[in-house]
Amino acid sequence: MLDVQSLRKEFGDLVAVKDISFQLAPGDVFGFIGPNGAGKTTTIKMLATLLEPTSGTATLNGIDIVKYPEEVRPLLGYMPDFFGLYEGITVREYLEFFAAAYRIPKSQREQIIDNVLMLTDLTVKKDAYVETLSRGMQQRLCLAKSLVHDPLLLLLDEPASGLDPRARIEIKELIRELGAMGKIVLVSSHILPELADFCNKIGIIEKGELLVWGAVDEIVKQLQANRLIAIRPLDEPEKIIQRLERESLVHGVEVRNGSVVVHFAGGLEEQAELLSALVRDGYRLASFHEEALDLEDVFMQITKGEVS
Amino acid sequence: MRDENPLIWYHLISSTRHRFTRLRVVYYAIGVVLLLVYLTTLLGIVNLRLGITETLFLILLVVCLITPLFSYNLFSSEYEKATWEFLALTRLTAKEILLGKWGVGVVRLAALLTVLFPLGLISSAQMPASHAFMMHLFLGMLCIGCWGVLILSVGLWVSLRWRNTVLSASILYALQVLVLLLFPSLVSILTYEPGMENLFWVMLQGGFPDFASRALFWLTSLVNGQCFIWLNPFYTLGELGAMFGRSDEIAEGLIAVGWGWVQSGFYLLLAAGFLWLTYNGVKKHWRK
Repeated sequence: MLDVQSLRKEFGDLVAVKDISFQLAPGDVFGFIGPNGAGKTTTIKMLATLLEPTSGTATLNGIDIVKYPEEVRPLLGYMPDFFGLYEGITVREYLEFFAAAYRIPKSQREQIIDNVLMLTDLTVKKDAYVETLSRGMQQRLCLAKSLVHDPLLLLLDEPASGLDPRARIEIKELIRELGAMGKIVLVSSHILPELADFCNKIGIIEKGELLVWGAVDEIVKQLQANRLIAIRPLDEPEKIIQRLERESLVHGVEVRNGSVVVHFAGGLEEQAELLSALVRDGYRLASFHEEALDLEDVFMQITKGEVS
Repeated sequence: MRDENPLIWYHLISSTRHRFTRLRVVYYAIGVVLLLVYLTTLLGIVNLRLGITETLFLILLVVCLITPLFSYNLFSSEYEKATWEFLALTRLTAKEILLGKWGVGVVRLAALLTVLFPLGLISSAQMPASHAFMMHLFLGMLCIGCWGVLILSVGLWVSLRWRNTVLSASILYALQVLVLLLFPSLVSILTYEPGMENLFWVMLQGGFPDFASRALFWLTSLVNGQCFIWLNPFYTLGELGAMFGRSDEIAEGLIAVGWGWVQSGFYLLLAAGFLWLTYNGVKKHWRK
């Protein structure tokens, strides 16, 4: 369990992170969203025990990360947005180096490294020199290194930055798998579609302030006061618009890309009745469906595009 | 288990192997050139009948030039390659990280001194039988070794403090020029009085019946600025020649004040100071 309480970081007069709090349980994949300069990396570095918070704290499995960084470190895996690798050694030697540095007994190392290589799909590259790997492979190796000591919490800062589309998809799959393995995964990104697929929780940070956090569905529900129903009529949209505006539960109608988008205050029952009424009145409809808010809509509604 | 230090393995074997594998031809060429230079120097010592003092000067010069290369990037490369965070998060303690990196430098320095030692041995063989050449050689090499250890420790601290490889190397060489050349020259110029006898030799002629008088000798050097000269390893090696080559009051004085031993101890003490600074730096900045 990761419990972040009023974490704050100041650099002189600049408040990089303003008293943020959130809690994550094993299996949670938390998307940490915010524009560049919002305070994502500073927060992650504090959680990684690399940066001392100005105030506030966080506990991982009950261990205070501020007071006992050395005790927490074996429980966390960290992958920064910009990282380097020790050159001149093979992939396997690189992982052996970190296995030794994490005090994994020699007798268990080979098996653990084999498992990690398999998980990150690097088995075929185990004898390649690290500097000969592509950027995507190096990201995987960095992730493999972060997994060697089987951490509970994984802090991944922009893990897909600079990757080609295929490598992005592969990293996403891997993160999803890690969540399924019961790890707490905190992934930061400013590219929303990247996170939408595999995060069950999100937090949106702007100017160092955590504006909202929680389960993706709940946040969407909170923000979506009205349902959005997209109707695609086969005839002129003006007629159906006039008809829809007479409905008491319709709070607004607009035309978007040839579809009539209705801001509807009713529930599913009322939605079904509206559809029946339109069909009964003779309107020919090619489609009628509810439009859900996606992460981009949520982000745009909550943030103002400011940096700290 | 606790004794395992992967840093030593990486710095000593892997990175070296990698460089050799990638630039095999260059390294072979450098190796051949160095071997030729070494053999030429060896022949030169024999043909020119160079004494121990001159040979020790030569060895010290090589150590001054090469040792900074053993330590100038040990921490700065971690910052430049953005690998320090990974290392900081492992279970290696600050002491292990420090010893891992410093230990690599010491091993390399020991290897360098081992290669250079035969030069001193050849020159010793040419000294007259009356000269205590083995002790002279031992004390000279000890002094050089301790100076090398000091450079390693300073290099370690500088590379942690400034986090920049080029800057660290520049600082190390600039410091040596300052300490070995500029400071002693400045002190010599400022304390020079025409017609006066050599101050050092005057101070040595007084005799040193007890420990207090020896301590006073060294403390006086702090007051009159002579320490900048006396602690210079080149000067130390030069006077070692006088200590082992003469049998007068000055030689006795040099032996009495522990010439060579005190300087070696001082270098080690200073090295320990820089190691402590580096240790604290790692503890503070890496939150170890």
